Amino acid sequence: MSISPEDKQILEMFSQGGAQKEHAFRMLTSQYGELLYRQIRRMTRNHEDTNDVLQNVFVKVFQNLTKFNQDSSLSTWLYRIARNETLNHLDKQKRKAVVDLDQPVFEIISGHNGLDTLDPDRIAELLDQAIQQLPDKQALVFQLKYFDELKYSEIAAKLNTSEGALKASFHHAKQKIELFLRSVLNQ
Amino acid sequence: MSEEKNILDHIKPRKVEVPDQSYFKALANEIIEKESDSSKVIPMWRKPVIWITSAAAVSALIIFSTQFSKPQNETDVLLALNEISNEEIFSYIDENIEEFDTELIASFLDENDESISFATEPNYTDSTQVKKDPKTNDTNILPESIDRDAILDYLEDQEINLDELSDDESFI
Repeated sequence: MSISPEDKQILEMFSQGGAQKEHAFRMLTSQYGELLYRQIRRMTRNHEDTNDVLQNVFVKVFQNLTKFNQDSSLSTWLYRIARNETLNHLDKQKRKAVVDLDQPVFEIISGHNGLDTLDPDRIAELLDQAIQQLPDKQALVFQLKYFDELKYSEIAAKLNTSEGALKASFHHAKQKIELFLRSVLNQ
Repeated sequence: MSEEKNILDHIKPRKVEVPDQSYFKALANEIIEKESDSSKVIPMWRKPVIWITSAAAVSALIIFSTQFSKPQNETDVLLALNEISNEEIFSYIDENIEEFDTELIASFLDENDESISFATEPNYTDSTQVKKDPKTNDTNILPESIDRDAILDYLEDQEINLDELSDDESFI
């Protein structure tokens, strides 16, 4: 994955400061807002927390975008910030013991012995843990394909990479998640 | 039903509802406004936090100095005195005795301390009252609360013959 022309434009405009910087930031939130919102909402499971985390994420992006060294794609960098912020937020929420969640973000299709015995919340928790084991790129591709159900062509356009590379990445991510879940369910 | 089938095939993700673009625009504007406010340079002396912090620091200093300075000074003096030996103190008093207010020193001395004696005056207990005979100028230590008859009764009980007592022993 390399920097897409759109991302390059955002970075250049942002580095100019002033009105250009503000315009670039609006472009960035418009382009990546939905992606980050879904990612965070799936983990926090309510709009209020998602809103808080997303604000923090974009504040950090605003403060640090000039330091982005382009080692990864912009989307991977944003995904990493959002993941860390969400995990920090969830950690604080656990200490407060606040429970006000949407319905589980999964529907369990019966027929699997291990899954049928588990609470949907527990399954969601395990899946989150499995995703956290993945490298940022694979986790991002997994989210876009599995949760957001985008086509490979759409993801390729978003991440500025080839469909073949995406298929391989998604395949590896699925394998790792399966292994993780099996190891937990067989315990 | 088999364990061989992928677990993920049994987990179907639900669609997450996402707010429309106006939400993201508002969010971007809010952050831009917040960040540009925080990046404005305010002179140090105009920042209320600086004033409040300074006032608090000065108040704390005043309270600390008034609350703790006096006892600390007294403690310092006592600590310094502890380091001077008794011999040094006594020799200093001997050398400078004329400069001392003897009445003041006497008021500090323990009246029950028998190790201290006065060369000119005998050591009397509280229950006695010292009287001087105006004619002979002799000291009379007879307690006023005991009358003469009671003393004579006591001597009689104890079978003490006054005539047998020498002049030195007789004090009545």
